[in-house]
Amino acid sequence: MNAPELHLTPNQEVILAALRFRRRYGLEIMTAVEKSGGKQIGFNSLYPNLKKLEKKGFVKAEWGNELPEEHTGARRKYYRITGMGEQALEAKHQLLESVAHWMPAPEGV
Amino acid sequence: MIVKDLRLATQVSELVGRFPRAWQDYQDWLRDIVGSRPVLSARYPSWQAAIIFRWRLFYFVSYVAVVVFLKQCGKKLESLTTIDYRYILQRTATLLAVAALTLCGIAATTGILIAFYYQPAAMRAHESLTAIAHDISSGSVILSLHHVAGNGLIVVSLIQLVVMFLGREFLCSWFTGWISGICLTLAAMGLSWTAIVLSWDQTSFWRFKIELSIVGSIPLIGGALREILSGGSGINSVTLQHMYALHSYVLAIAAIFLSVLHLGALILQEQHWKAAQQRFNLSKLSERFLRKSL
Repeated sequence: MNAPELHLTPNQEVILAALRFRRRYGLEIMTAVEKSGGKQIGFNSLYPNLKKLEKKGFVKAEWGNELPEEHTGARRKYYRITGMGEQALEAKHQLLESVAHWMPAPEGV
Repeated sequence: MIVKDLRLATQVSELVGRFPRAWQDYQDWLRDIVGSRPVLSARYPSWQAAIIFRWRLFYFVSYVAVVVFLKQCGKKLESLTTIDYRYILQRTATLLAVAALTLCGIAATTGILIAFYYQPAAMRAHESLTAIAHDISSGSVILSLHHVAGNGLIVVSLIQLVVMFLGREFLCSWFTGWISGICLTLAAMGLSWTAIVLSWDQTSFWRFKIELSIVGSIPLIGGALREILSGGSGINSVTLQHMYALHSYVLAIAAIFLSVLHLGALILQEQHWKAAQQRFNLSKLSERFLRKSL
């Protein structure tokens, strides 16, 4: 049921969920997860995971309109969920549902 | 403290900026690390905030470094697997063919020099070889060169078979090279086999006796083949002469012919790697020659 190309790790699932209704940048995702009471995603795993999600086609990155940071010249990137990302989230939810509803076959009948 | 940290961040950005692709991919990470620095100072004592900040910077740099390194390795590997690897095999095959031809040449030259003094008769063979080794000037060098070249030819032609198999291309020139390579290997082995009895000492005599009986055990043709090879039932002067004729006329000439053919086929095969106007072309060559002579 859960196709291998739609597979999500727990961190990736939380990141995708954070992007469901609006585009966000990295720090915003982290704050959103933290303020909602979830297990905090560290810097060291957030950005590599975002890159992996982008490579799989679950999110799309776009440059923000803010000016580059004054010390490093680094620009901000916003991430937006794609149709495939939504599908992956949906597949995960369906998996949870079907696990909850699963019944053992009656024995000895 | 904060000023120092920001200077560090600037240095990191300059470092990563040298790799435009990685900088494109990961600059938002660095921006957020720097952007979260005030939050860290508000939440933790300054020394702890500095440690966390630097750890994040360090992790960022290491991660990007590994990504850049892996990408470079992947690119190298890809370029090796597409064209270079086959080209290297092709060049190696040609080089080995040159080596085989050289070894053939050495063996032939030293063989002719040995033939000046060698006597293919049962009672004379061993004596004449001893004389060549001891009495003739640089005789032992010539003899050992002949041995080394003969054994080297077997080794080189066997390696060549593997190299050609790995770089196989189903073209006429490759096929010619492949078949001539196999025949050359067989000829080299045949040369070494017919040389067994030529030194006419105890080891070679008994070894040849055993191997002749192995030949004799081939069904149907074994007996006849054995008699043809040994020139009768026993091992005597006639056997020696048969082996000598096979070794120095039939197989030696075949080996030289095959190694020339082999090298020629591989050189033709190499033309496929060259641009069309650089290829060897017989008609173009003769045209140029004619124009020059006119």
